[in-house]
Amino acid sequence: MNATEVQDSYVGQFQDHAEREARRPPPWLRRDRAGAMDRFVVAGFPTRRMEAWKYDVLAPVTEEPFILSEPSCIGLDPEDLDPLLLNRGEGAHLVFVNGWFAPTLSAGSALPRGVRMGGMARRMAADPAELLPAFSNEEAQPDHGFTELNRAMWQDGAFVQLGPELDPEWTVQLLFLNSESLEPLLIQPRNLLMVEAGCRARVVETHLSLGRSAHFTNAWTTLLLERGAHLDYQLWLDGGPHARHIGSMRVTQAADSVLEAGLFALGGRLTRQEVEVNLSEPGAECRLHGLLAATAHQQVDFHLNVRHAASSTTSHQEFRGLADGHGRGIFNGRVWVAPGVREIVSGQTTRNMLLSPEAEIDAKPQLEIHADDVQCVHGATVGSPDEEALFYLRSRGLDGQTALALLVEAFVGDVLNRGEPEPLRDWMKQRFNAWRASP
Amino acid sequence: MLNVEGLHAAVGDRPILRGVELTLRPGEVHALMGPNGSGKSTLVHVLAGRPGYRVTAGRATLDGVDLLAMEPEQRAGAGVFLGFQHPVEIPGVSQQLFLKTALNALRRRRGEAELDASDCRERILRATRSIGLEESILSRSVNAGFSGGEKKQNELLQMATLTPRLALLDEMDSGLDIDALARVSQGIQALRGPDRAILLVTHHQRMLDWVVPDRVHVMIEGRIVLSGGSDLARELERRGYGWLMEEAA
Repeated sequence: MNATEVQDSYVGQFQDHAEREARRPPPWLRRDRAGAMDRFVVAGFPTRRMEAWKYDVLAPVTEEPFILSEPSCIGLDPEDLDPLLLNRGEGAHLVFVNGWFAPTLSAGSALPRGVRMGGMARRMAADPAELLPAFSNEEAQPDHGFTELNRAMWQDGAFVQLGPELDPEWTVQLLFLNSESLEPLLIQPRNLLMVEAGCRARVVETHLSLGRSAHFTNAWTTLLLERGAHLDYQLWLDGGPHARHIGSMRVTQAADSVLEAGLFALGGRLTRQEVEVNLSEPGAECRLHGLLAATAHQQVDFHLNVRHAASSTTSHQEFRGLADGHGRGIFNGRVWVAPGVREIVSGQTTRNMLLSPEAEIDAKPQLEIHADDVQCVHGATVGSPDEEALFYLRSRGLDGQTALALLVEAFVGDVLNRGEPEPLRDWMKQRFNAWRASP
Repeated sequence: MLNVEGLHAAVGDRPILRGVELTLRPGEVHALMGPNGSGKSTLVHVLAGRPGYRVTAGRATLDGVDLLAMEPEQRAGAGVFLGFQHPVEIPGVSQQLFLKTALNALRRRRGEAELDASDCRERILRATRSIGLEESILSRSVNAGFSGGEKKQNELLQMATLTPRLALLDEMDSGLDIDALARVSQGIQALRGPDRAILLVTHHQRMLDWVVPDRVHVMIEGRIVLSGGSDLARELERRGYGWLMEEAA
């Protein structure tokens, strides 16, 4: 099937979806969806002729049709989830199966004061007016075919609102779990996370798979940090070797808010995560770190766009890329500084390691600075493991494989060891080691 | 113990070793001296199995076992230790983990049972104290941010932990101030033992005031052209290498 035929299949599914939508949506949402579909029809899927997509091979999502997922019963018991859950202490988890909120698998009935969370579909049915501002925020509008597709046909997702009295140790895990199914599914979560003024919060979003399914997750997440909010956010994309994942995240940060975010993607047939951070008021700060890793014929792409729209804003990016086999990694880190703003500090480092001659990583820092009072440091490297270090380790009796594993562990440790709290770090290391050991 | 016979080696098409003959017996310390580029470092790297060198003729055996047929890690298992002139920094790998991994890797190669965490730690701590290093060095990353002297002492810490039969120490005196040189030299002296042979590659005689060698060899243009007792080092300090180079030519 070619991209146009796939696009046509989504037009058809959109009409069915609109007719079947169980809870009648408010008129503004119907218009919003229809407008997005119209734009998707005109724009189509992005292509490699577009600068922002020139390294991506999109065939895994544009040349096969995916069927919009339906709520399904997968016969899981809450205890089946134990190995996938991070919370050993205080916190709550929301579980989504094929994109649909699964209340019976989720826990967190005794929510602290000021915390509201649950499925987006229910939220929309209960109080659409509350969601209107976030959904119509012009700063956070889609800008390519995939986000339009989500906007036209999102079904469910996470709604999380965290209030100022929250204990900072209290952790929310959003667990997106894809199940095995006969048909490859189109899974479209629409997530909204709001961190209220002065709140310190921790959110971990994990995308995992129960089988070896080749579903396509097309996610769109809006993150709003109010004045003085502090969010520690970890995104873990680990849906297995066949997973397709295109995620778009838009962050808007008010004055003096701090976002500490870890972005981790372990393989997948095609994984692309976009993060746009708008530092829209003075004192806003974001610190992003993460790892993209690809092996076999996997493709992982991080597209970051940090926008210094106000004076006295700060951003740091520290990323690692690892590619083995025929794996491909893409790192595009854009930093944009608005004309006339002052006292900007921005740093970006990306280090990339190739473990096979066929592996490839394209690392592209992109600085667009339209102001003078800017301290900006960036660096990008791509290379093989240090031969000298390998020989050093082997001369001490370590075989080549163990020596390499130690160097890789050290290389990714820079970013993997930043997760808080400790059980999260351990969980991440376990998942990473499992990924390295998988064929 | 170590027997090197007619060893020739090249980097690419460029010959560097041109027929090295050398024998070390257990308990002996030999110093290998010579001008820059004479092949001293190449010899120890070839013996340790560094990739990039091509052995074109000759033999090297340790206790009768052919070293040259082995991978670097197998040579380590056979008892070879190379002390690096420029120890490699490996940020993110802790010294403790590195020493423990290496110690147990060597024990497996020697057919010995692996040590558990506390036995490992005990062994490593003892080695650390014997070299005169602080325990805190174990929680740092391997060589990362170490001073020149610390790096060299750290090589000796690895040697003390791994207890090799044959230590090839490549210019352990380079880049050290006089205090660091004294500490490193005393460390080497403490690691002498009746079952262990040490080959010290050095430019200068300074270190040999502390570590008095049993034999001194002079290498010029890839061959050992002169061997003698420890007095030879002092003579070289006085006369330089010029007269030997003329003779060799």
